[in-house]
This record gives sequence, structure tokens and C-alpha cells, in this order.
Amino acid sequence: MKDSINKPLAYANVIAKPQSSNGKLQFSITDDEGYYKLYFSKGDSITISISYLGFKTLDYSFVAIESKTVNFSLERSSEILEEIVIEPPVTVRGDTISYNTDKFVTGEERKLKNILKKLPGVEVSKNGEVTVLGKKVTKMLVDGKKFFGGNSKLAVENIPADAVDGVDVIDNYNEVSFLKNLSESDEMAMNIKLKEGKKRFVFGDVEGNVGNDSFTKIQSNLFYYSPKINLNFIGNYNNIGEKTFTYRDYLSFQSTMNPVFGSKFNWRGGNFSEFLKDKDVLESEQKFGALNLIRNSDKLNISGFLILSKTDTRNLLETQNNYSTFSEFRTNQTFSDTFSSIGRYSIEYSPKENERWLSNSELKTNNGDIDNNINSLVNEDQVDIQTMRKIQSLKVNQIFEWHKRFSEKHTISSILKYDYDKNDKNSIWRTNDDILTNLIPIISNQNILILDQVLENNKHNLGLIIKYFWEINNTNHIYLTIGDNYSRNNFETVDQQILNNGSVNNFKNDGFGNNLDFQFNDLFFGLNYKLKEGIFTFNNGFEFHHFNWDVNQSNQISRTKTVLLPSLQAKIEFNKSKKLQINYRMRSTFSDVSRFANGFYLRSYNSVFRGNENISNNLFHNASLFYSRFSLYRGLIMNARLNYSKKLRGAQNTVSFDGVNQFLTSQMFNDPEESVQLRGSIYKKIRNVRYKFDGTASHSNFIQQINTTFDRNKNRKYSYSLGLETLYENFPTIDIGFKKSIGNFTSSNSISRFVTNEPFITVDHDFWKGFVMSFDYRLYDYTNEVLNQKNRFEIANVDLSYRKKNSPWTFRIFSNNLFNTSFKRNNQFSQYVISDTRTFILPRVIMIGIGYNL
Amino acid sequence: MKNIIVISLVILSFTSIFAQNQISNSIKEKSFDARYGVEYIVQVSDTILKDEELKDKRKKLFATKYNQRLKRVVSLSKKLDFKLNFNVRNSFFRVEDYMANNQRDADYLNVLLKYKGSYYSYNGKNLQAKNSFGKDFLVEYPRFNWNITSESRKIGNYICYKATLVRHVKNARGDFEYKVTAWFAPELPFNFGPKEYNGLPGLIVELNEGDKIIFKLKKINQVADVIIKLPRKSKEISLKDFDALSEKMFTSLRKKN
Repeated sequence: MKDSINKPLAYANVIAKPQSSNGKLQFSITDDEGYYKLYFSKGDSITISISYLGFKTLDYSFVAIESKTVNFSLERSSEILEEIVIEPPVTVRGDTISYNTDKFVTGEERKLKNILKKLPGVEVSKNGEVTVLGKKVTKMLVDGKKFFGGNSKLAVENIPADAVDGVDVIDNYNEVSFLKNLSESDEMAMNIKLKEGKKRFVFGDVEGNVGNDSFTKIQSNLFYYSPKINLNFIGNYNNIGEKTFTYRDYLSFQSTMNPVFGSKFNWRGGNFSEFLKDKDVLESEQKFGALNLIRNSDKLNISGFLILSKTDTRNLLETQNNYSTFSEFRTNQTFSDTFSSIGRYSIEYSPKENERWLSNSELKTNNGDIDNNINSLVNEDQVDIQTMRKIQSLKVNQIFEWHKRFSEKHTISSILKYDYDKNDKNSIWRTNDDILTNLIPIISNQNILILDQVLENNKHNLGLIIKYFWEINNTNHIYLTIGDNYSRNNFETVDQQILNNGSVNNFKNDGFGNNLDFQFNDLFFGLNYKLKEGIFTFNNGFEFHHFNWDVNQSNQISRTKTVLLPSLQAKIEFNKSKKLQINYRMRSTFSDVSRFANGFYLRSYNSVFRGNENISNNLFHNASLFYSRFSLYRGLIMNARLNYSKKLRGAQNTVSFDGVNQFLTSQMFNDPEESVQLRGSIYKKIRNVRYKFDGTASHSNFIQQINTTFDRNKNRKYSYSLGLETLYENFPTIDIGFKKSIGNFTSSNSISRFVTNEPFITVDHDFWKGFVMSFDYRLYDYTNEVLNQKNRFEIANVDLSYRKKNSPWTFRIFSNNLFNTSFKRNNQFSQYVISDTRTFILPRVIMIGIGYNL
Repeated sequence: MKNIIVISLVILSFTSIFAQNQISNSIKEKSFDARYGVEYIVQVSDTILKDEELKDKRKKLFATKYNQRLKRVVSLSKKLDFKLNFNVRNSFFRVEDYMANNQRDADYLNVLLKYKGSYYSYNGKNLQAKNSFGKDFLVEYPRFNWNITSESRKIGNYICYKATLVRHVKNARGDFEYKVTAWFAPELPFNFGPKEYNGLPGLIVELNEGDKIIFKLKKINQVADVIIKLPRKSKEISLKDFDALSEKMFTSLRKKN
């Protein structure tokens, strides 16, 4: 037996059918040389058919008269190698949901996010997060490869819609396929399958737009795909407030360990809360460039990316703060210039199908200058404070992983991880007004009061985990974990006053300043037992941790502690598309090192913090329940998630107030916090309309010590949204709905209640062959029922583009903030204060642009 | 066609007389638990990859992955047990619980075995219980016209006769035809077998579907009374109607009313 280029073909199927109806069938398989032998009775009429994977089946008829040798050559078949891929619009298979996007799109989609929004069960948030059935997508893949390390925002905002062929959503994802069903993880991956024609080409788009008041936006996405190399480039310049890359995005880029290692050493340093407030901007200029490179081969996969981002913004906020005894009117203006860079280099090596090595190296930097001006008015007392901050952070991370499946029963996973994290912050506060007298030991006979603070924090972390998976039989598994995590942390603060004659008044003598050396070790052992019984899968176990930590500052404390943390999980699969999952686990965390530092330091110009070296680990109960149902037959998608968390014992901040000035410290409390959250959604398609309901409810209460009184505060939030979406083929896609949010905050001396009503409409329409129009409008109607404040504002955007069929050129005109609304308004309540904030936003932007699609 | 029906009816009545003679009444009232193993015959070879014609790296990678998957799937199939519970009247066939190391492999194995859900022979009806498009269905198969031959073979302790059948399948993927061969043992007078293959004058000991899938009886035990119940809340539908429904479900959500 030979193939079409005359090479012997081993293991081909040879079947001999006698032509007489009751004769016996004969069967043979070719040997390594392609030979086979069959014996027939003399005179039999025989049909031999020879089949082999990848070749056309050959039929040969003859009459057996004498022994003879017949040589066959098989012809290659073109269709054979493809897996069977004919699917209904949505298929649910185990943990995977596959969308056949062709059956949902209408042609007016520009980017991936426009497609995703049309898929039932998929939601895309404004900041580029994707959720499927209420669960967040944590890894974004393009053709099975991580796109910029798996970031969803860069993918949804940049991948051109016409390149997308299909979308797979894989829950409980693990990139090492042989580990997938050995661990439960919160990972959810979305794989974007590119169209066949897009797999070997350069594609992408370049667009330039100009508008009123020198508004500009230039964007380019260039993707190159070849069998060996994938290259993605994203470049963006804009001053129209589009947040291509925020500090939150910067944080979200972190090398992740394989989910089999759970969330151990899941700590991330360098969170500067100043950046985290994802505020609207009054002015903004953003430059962004990113390059992703993947080189594939059978066994070795090398990938890397580089992201550079420079963002300059101006924010303006006006806030009414209601404290328990007085209120404050505050104007807050911030100019912030930040530069971030992220580089990652990964090598994945799979010498065999059952073995995998991984090395991941990452370097991240973030540097920022933040100038802030606060004007605070309390009972006609006006105070002006300027803050200048310089922030520098550096993070280095190295991970090595090794996974091997030794046999059907035995698998080992291991990881070695090292992190270095350095965060420095220098703050200078300036004011002409006489403030802070009781809180800080200042020399007050100065024209200008200048406070200077240096805060330095660096951390080394080294961790090792080894996991052993033993698959006893088809329905019983045992998993063992052993590991250690060591960290060393240095925290230093200096607070001082710079006097007008240039000399320095260091607050050191009054208990300010820190130099803390904190060492921490966690040695742990875990055991899990997984069992399947009918529709039930149980995974129960425990983890035993031995902590020891040394707090070395003015005094020295060495402590050890052991905890036993149980975990229970039950998965009930009623059928493929109806599932219920119940989880419980006990969790232990350690507070940030700054909470152990026993010297005073300034948190802001009006707040002094002092840590507590005697605090220890926080202990939580966490329980959750998740239900999902997906029925294409009924056009019904439902999911509900219930989370419960109770902090059994933990560090909590206590506050002493002196006017607007605060003094905070940490103390251990029993039962300090408890919260319940319920979130659910129902989508139902009836004829060509999809009806949607989303609802959330959250209750939380927490202990608060203000001055010397204890309070248990209650915070309740409810929101629901009702809407419908049209799905006609030759009619605009209209998504119209109404959202209502209610907030209730109760403390011992006050009750607050806020209600926000938000009607909204989105229209997408393609018309006159090549025109695409989209419009969205939202009205915010807000009432503070206790203070009887009312406010409403409207935000609308419109976008019209034209692209002639088969022409690469796109012409576009769009407007953001069509009604020229000047501010947004929102409310927040914290443990100490209820705030009503106006955030000023960019004025109306009208842009015209031209784009070229490759 | 008429001739064949007549012949098979004759054999059926013959077998029932034969059965009454051989098997005592007490056994007829008992329940049984039969276990089948499955073999999937497939040619997995690496030679295909050395071929210069497969210059296209992507295709080659795909071929490698495909072969690796086939190997894993075949080894998975060897671990599985299929269980047929039956009494004199009814039967219930399904795969035994297992935690697949890789769900996609398990799904793919089911595709190769043309196996989905579970199967019943209930009051003479040939039913498949499955969840499709998020809905539980009970799909009723038409009666099979088995062609029973006189060819016999001893499998284990049983003398088995060969019966054949040609299945015509018409679905979204196209028209297919494949041959099914069943070896049944008249000594075991129960007309059940793996999957939807029922209606022979004896338990199917070996089933060969499409020349690639072989179900083999591993052991058979007599067990305490088993009550076979159909799943509740399932939509009963004929195979023909189900195929029509599938076709409707496969079409675009935006194009049809």
C-alpha cells in the first residue's frame, strides 16, 4: 500500500467484501512496509476497500482465481483533516460555549466589541471588561494564542469585526490542556477565531479624525498572521478622553500563574489609590503604543509584548461632603502626567504532549507627577491646599512552571516565582491657611505651610508550590499540595515641615516616621478529594498553613500562627445547559505592611495614620452559589450568582475626628464585616425581540469605631434594568431600556437614600449599502431623598460612517457628548462620609475622519 | 422488502418458542446489568506528518494536534464502561460516570461514537434521551429492519448470530450511509443492545457500527429488580421531527421568524 508519492502507508484499513450476500467480511491492517495479506476462497468475487485517514477510500473488485500481488496507490483527500465544524448559532459543550458569529452579526459592526454585544449572554462594559453569563473573561485569546497576555480591553477595542469568524468561551480554563479537569479555577477564556482568509495576511485599520477645538484622534491596528509568526501593533493618540489605557489596566497586566496553583501568593503591590479612581476627565491627552509578538513552532512557543503609555489629564470635581456633624464643600482639581511601560517575555516549551515548561519574565514601571489643588469650605472657613506628588514604581516578576502527566493516573505541577516590587512616593503639601494644628506638630508662624513626605516601600517575594494529582479511577481523584512563600518587606516614611527659611522641622520626635523591616513566611500543605456521582461532582479538602512573621522596627515582634482552612465545592450538572455550583471556603489574608508600621505618617494633608504592629491575619468565610441555564430551544438564558462573605476576625481602621482632620489606626476586631450580594440576569427571545432583565442586590454591614463610639453601619444597594433589543434583519437594531438604582446607607446617626433612574437607548442601523449609523443616549435622573437634592444630566453620542463595498476607505463623522453636558453627578458613601460629587467632563466633540482598512 | 419482513417474523416467533424452552420463567422476571466496553478503531500514524506535501505549517500543526487528540480519545474510550440495565420489558443504556481529564476529548469521543445522552427501549419504543439546544428531548427512532443472517460465531459462552442493517442519516452535515452489524445471542432472550440498537431476537453481545465503533459485552450480572423509568419533563419527538427542528435551530437567528 502506497500513498500518492509512493511511500508505503502503514496502518491502512483494508476490508474485503465478498460480493455474495452471505459471505464473510475480511479485515486487515497494513504493516510498517505497507503490506497486507488476505486469503479468499477460489472463485469468490471480492470488493476490497482501502481507507486511511487523509486519503480517499479506494474500491477494487476482482475475482479470486490465483494468488497474486496487487499494488494500490491512494489519492490524497483534501477535506479529511478538518474536524467537523457545523454548528448551530450557539452550542454548549461541557465548559465551552461556542458562538457561530455569522449568525448574529448584521454587518454594521466595526470592532470585536460590537460583535460581542450581539451574542446572547455576553456583556461588554465601558472599560473593556467582558462577562459571559455574569462571569468575567480573564484570558482573551486570538486563534488560541494570548492576545497581549490575554487582556480583554485591547482585544475588544481593536480587533476589526470583519476578521472574526467565531467565538468560543471556555470556563474553568487552563492553558495546559491535561490540567484542565484537575482543578477548578475562576479563569474564563474567550477565544476569537479568525476567518480563514485572515490567517495569513496583514489586516487592520488606520484612521485619522479631526474636530472642533483641535480635538484629534489617530488610531492604527495592524495585525500580521502567518503560520509561524503573529504580530499585532496598536497605536493610538487622542485628546478626546478615550481611555486607551488606564492605571487599572496597568495593574491588570500581571503575569498569572497556572490556575492549578489557586490564588496563592496572589498579592499585588504598588496600588496607588490616587490613580485608581477612574474619573472622567475635563482634559486629556493620551499616547499609546503596543506591540505583541508570537512565534510558534510544534514544541516551542515564544511570545512577548511591549506596551508604552503616556497620559496627561486634568480632572475637576466639586464635592459636597456630609460628615456626621458638619458639611464641607470642596473643589478638587488635578493635573496628572503619567508614563507606564510593561514588557513581558514568555517561553513555553512542550517536548511532549504530556509535558510543559514555562518561563515568564515581566518588567513594569509607572512614573507619575500629580499636582492637585483643593479648595475646602467648611462653615465659611476657606482652606486652599496644593499637593504635588511624584510616584515611581518598578515591578519585576519571574515565573518558572513545570507540568508533567506521567501516566493516566499521575500528574505533577510545580511553580517557582520571584517578585520584586518597589514603590516610592514623594508628596509636598502647601497651604497659606492655618490648618492641621492639632494633628501634626507643625511650627505655625510661617507664611506658607509646606509639608514634605517621603514614603518608600520595597518587597521581595519568593514562592514555591508543588502539586500532585492522583486519578485513582474514573470517579475518584486525590490532590496534594505543598508549598512555601517567603517575603521581605521594607517600609520607610519621613514626614517633615519645610520652613520658609529653608530649614527642616522633622516630626520624628513626635512619633512620626517609620523604618520597618517585615519578614513573613507561609508554609502550607493541602489535600483535596474529588468525587463524581451521577450529576454531582464534589471537591472537598483543606489547607493547613503555618505562618510566622517578624516585625522589626523600634521594637521587635516575632509571631507564629497556624490555621486550618477547609473548602467545599459541589457542582450539579442537571444537564449540559443547566448547572448549579456551590462553593465554600475559609480564607486567611495578611494586611499590607503599612498597617504594621507603628510610627505616624500622613495619608493626606488632613489625615494621619499609625499602624499597629500587633495585628495578625484576617480570617474570612466565603460562600457562593451559581446557577446558569442556557436554552437555545426556548431562546432563554438565565444566570444567578449569590456571594456571601463574613470577616471572622481582622484588622479594621478606627477613626478619630477633629473637624475635617482624621486620625486613623488599625485594630483587630471580631466579626467586623459581613456582606451578601445577589446578581442575576434573564434573557428571553420571543420572535425577533430579545427581552432582558438584570438585577443586583447587595447588603453589607461593618463595624466602625469613630472616636470612642462603636457603630454598626448598614449599606444596601439595589439596581435592576429592564430592556429589549430588536433582532430583525432589515430593521435597525434598537436596544432600549430602563435602569433603576437605589442606595441606602444607615449609621447610628444618619440615614441616606439615593435613587437614580436611567432610561437609555442604543440604535445601530446600516442603510443605503455602506452607511452605518449608531446612536446612544442615556439620561441620568438622580434624587437624594433625604436631603431632597435632584439632578439630571444626559449623555449622547452619535457616529455615522460610510464604506463603499469592496473599497478599503471609510469616511466617518461622529460626536461625543452631543448635548454638551458639562458634568456628571454621583454619590458615594464611605465609613465616615457621604459625598455628592460633580465630575466635570469634556465638552461636545464633533469629529470628521477617514480610515483605511487593510 | 416484503420477503425480508416475513422471514424475520418467522425467526422471531421461532426464537420465542426456543427461548421459552431454554430459560426458566424465574429468570424472565429478574433484572440484569450488562456492561459493555467500547473500542474505536482508528489509524493514528505520524508518517502523515513527514510528508513533503504538507508544507503548510498550519495544516501540519493541525494534523499533529488531530492525531494527538485521536490517540487521547482512543485511550479514553478504553477506560469507559457502558451499562445496559434491563428487565424483560424495558432497557436503559448509558455511559458510566467519569471525570474526563479533558472535556473536549470527551466531547470529541462522543462525536466519534455517535453517542449522546442515554437510550431506552420502553414498551417497544426505541428512545434516546438527550439534551439539545438547552432542552431535554426523548427522540423516538423508527423500528430497524434488521437483516438476520445464518452466519454464527461463538463469543464467550454464547453462540451469536449476525444481523446487519444499513443506516441512512441525513442531517446538516449531509447524507451518510453506514453499515451496522450486530451479533446477538438467542440464548439471552432479550431484544436489547447498546445505544438505539434494539429489536433483535436476543441480546446484542457485540455491535459494530460503521466499521469503526465496536461495543463488546464484558459481563452480565443478574441484579435485584430494576425499575426503568423514562425521564420526566422531556419532550417526546420523532426522529424525523427532531431532525427538522435541528435544521431550524441551525439557521441564522436573524433571518427566520
